[in-house]
Amino acid sequence: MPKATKKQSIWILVAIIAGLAALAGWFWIWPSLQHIDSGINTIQNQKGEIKQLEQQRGLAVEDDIDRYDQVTQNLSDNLVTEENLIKLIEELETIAGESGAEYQLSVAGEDDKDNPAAQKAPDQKDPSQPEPEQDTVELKLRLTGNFPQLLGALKKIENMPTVVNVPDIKIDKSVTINEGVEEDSGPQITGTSVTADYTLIIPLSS
Amino acid sequence: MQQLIDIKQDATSRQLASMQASVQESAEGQAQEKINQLNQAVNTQAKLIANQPQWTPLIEKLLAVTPGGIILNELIGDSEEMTLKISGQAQTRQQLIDFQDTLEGMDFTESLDAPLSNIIEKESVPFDMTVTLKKDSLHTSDAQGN
Repeated sequence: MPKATKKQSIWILVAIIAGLAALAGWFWIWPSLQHIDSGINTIQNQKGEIKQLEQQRGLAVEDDIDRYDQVTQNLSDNLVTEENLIKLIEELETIAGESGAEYQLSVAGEDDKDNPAAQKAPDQKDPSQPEPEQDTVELKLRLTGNFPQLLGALKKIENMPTVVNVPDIKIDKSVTINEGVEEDSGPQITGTSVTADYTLIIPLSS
Repeated sequence: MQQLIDIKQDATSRQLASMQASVQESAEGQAQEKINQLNQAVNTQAKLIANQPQWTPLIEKLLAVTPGGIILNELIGDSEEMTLKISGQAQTRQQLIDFQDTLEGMDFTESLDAPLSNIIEKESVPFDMTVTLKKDSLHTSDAQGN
């Protein structure tokens, strides 16, 4: 076998190196580049998904939460808080005033000493009824006018958007409006002036 | 280079998985919390409204069946005892008896307690009676029936 010249040896070496480089490119560098390209694509897609999820978390959930908040708020508005109790009292005064009847609104236990029918002794209450857990304010509304006025006011109170319970009523068109009538002479009927005592229990929002 | 890409891809995969879990937990958690609050508010309201007596429909019905010869002087309603005490005066005994019969037949009446002393007088008969109301008769849907 003839011995290769130095020049030929160099070319052979270059060819071998080129061959090896081509093999490396085919079997290692090219797949690696494809892998890198695929990885970059995956990363970009995942980043897009992450961005989308961030927006979802921020918006889609907020829509639902807003709806829940709105409904809960509407329900809560039907209950009175200690802070806006005065507003409800003013509404009750307006209803009473608009009815055309004379009215007197008081907190239960303060001004109703002369109104025994409107006030129950504790032992008269049904022991089987559990005490309500809800905080309440009890008011007494006394109206004096004609019957339609008193019934109209009661109807408005019962249909207020705010929850106002009227557990007891007393409508009386006899004794209180007849001056000079002896107590034992029995009820006197005028038909024009009637007194109504309404107990109002207002549940307070916690 | 490839290792760097692999490491970066792993990191984003973990971040994505974490985000997905977080979004789901966050949405479910917040929604659940709101649902609980809403349920609580609805239950409270339902209980309050269920216990809210409506006297006017019942009184309107009473007035509608009260004949001309009967004058009502006093109405005392007690939603705890579920009673309506009625006192007044009837022109004649027969009118009072008829009125009692009518009240006994009303859909809100559980029972009627009318003492015999009511019918001693023949004319200008003062009377007192107690109507025990049916359990749900003070709630709007029932009171407006009949």
